[in-house]
Order: sequence, then structure tokens, then C-alpha cells
Amino acid sequence: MIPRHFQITLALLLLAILIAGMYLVRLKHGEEAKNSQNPYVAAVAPPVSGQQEHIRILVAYDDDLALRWREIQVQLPTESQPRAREILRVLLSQYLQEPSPHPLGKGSDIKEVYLLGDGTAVVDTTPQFANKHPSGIIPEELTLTSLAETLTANVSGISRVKFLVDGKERETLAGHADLMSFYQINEVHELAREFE
Amino acid sequence: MLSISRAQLILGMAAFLSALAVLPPSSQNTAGRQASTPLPDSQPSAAGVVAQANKPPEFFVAIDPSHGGDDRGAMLPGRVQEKDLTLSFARELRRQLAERGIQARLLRETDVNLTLERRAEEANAAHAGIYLVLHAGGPGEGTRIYSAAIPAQASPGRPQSFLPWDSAQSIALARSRVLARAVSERMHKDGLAVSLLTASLRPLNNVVMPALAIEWAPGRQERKGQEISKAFARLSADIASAIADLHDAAGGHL
Repeated sequence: MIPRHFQITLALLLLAILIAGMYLVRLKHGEEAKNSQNPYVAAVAPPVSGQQEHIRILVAYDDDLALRWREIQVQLPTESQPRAREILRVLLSQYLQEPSPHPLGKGSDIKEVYLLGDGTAVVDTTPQFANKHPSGIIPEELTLTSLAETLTANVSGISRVKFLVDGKERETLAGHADLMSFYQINEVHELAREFE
Repeated sequence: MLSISRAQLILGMAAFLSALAVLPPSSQNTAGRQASTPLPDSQPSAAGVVAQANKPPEFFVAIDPSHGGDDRGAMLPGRVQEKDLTLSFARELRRQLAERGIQARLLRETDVNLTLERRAEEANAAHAGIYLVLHAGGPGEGTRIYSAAIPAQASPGRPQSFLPWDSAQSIALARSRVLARAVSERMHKDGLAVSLLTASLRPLNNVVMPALAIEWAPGRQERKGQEISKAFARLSADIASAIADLHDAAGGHL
């Protein structure tokens, strides 16, 4: 026979565990809700140092399958490669906000932009950028065209753009748009005109 | 970008042998590949080889139902997978082409993995007269017809030398755009919503014959089996008619 005082202690302990568990679940849900309201903050965070600049970004809109230029004021680093990266992150931040004109997967980001001396820009993206990208010719084409056009509109001397995913070549973005080839800027202008 | 891959070598070899006009098209299929045209049972004589070499390859349309196997493609409303829709679309298109006297071969008949490079290799090695890759997915509604977003070769003709794999389509791009306009006009006359676009797509960029990607974006009334079948029948009839008309107008070749 278990003594009465021991039974009461055990019941109280179980109750405390239950309350703590419920509190933890609530905390978790609260944190998730906060994250979903503000899914991506890294891309919109301004750099510590830099100058205020007026840039043009070409934003994709899925509702009417269009690309439209927008002017935006942002603080950018002065060095060319970090500056190019921040410009593309400003564009991605448009796609990662809620509601989004052209939703991309959480965690989509630009890891690095390399500006080579021969007019080549190499844009290295995070794995989530490709792995969580909506599959389809138009969504993929809109993303790549808007990135390439935004880059060349704000960084001079670029004649072609190559996209990498996590530092590696990939056949397609999400099953459709070619990522093996270089995007020649003249051809990208033509593509953009189809949607403007 | 211009590094020579295995596929580039295969394409270059096929073009080179064609230029020499020594081997019949069927024997130009590389070893180990599933031959699209069965080889004859007995060895042909030397005169027969020459006669066959001079004979133009049999015209057929290579239909590529995109995706397949682990690659499901886009997810459409009702949890329908793009890979399944493209296969149904391809089968219907083959049937409609056959009704108009045009042969067609599917690059995949079942739900199997097939790399993009392999698809282009198959179409190039089999000397398809036309290559059509079928897609299905949003956003929007209607049909979108894409030709490759690469510069057209200034003087298109039969490939006489090695071609860069990434832009092999440039040799046939002018004819691809004629085909795109013909298909688009036929759909337009039929009252279908259709747009003509360009896109940088694999394996569209890598094939050396007139080639299009055709993407169907279902409308709100086209999300169930029977409605989807009706839509495919109508689209396929338009595509097949446009191809048959062009084929007849060109005297059996495009």
C-alpha cells in the first residue's frame, strides 16, 4: 500500500510536468508564429557600413506574369562584390516577404556574387533557393531573369551571368530553367521584354 | 561552358558521319543506346549502304514527356503530378499525329528516370524531324509555346561540324520559330489561349532539329480526369494538324 502523502506528492509532480509541457508547447507555437510573420530578415538587414543608394530592381509578379521595374533606396557596401550581393538580396527580400509577388522558399538567399574581369558575374545561391523553388517554366524563368536584369542594371560591365547552387553547377533551377549555360545579357534583355 | 562533354562528342560524331554520308542513319546510333529505328536483320550490300545513305532519314516527331521517375515536375491542383500529365498528353499527341499520317515516338513510355542529356542524345541520334517537349503547370491558364532563347545561326543548314552542346539548337532555330507560329496560329483559330515565348530550357537548347516546348496551364474547369483528357485531345489535334500542314507544304521535310 502506497502512503497517502506519497500519492499526493506524485500527483503534484505529474501535474507540474503536465503544466510545464503545455507551457513549452505554447512557447514553441508562439515562436513559430513569430517566424512565419517575419520569415526572412537576413536579406533585408542593411550592412553595418556603406552609403545610401538609389537602385532599380526588376520584380516578378506571378498574378499577371509580369516583370516590373521598381526604384528603391538602400544602404549598400562600397566594395563591388558585396555591393552586387546586397543588391540581389534586396530583390530576394521582396520575394520572401508576406504577401509575396513571387514566392520563393524560406532560406533562399545569395551566398556570394563573383565579378570576373571578363564581364562574367557568377551568382552563388543557397541550396534552398533551388530546392524550394516553385517548379514551372514561367516561375523559374521569372526568377532568373529578374535576378540577372537587376544585377546588370546596377553593376556595370556585366555581359553574362552564371548561376550556381551552393557553389556547384546544377542542371536546372527546379526542373525547367537551364542553369548549366551562361545567361548572355542580350538574351536576358529579350526575355525580360516578353514579360514587361 | 565550352568544355567538350560526352554528349558533345556524340553529337559531333553523328554530324560528322552524316556529312560523310557513309552510314545509314540507323547505324549512327551510338553503342549501348536504345536504337529508335530497328536495324535490319541481314547485313546490307555496299550498294545498299550507299543507297540507304543517300535516302533521307524517315520523318518522325520525337515527343518528350518531360520529367518522370523521381523527377515529378510541378504539382498541379488536385495533387496531380506534372510527370503523369505530360505522359498522357504525349500519348494523345502521338495518336493524333498517327491519324494524320505522321509517325511519332515517345522518349519515355512509362514513369522512368531519363536525364535531360539523354533525351537530347536520343532525339539527335535518331534524327527526329521535329522535337516536342511537353510540360504542364502554372501559373496562369492556357498554352505557352517556347522556342529556345539562344541566337539563331546566321546560315542555318545541316550540321557539318562540331556544335557547342549548349547552343546546338541555334542551327534549327529559324525553323523552330516557323513551327511555333504555325502551332500558335492553329490554336488561336481554335479559340484557345496561347502565347509564344522564348526560354532557356534543357534539352531544348541541345537538339539539332526544329524543336518546341509546349506547356499547358490548366484552367479552373480543367482539373479533373475527363476535362484534362478533353483539353489534351483539343491541343493535340491543333499541334498535329499544324505539323501535318507544314510537313505537306515542305514536301515531306521541315
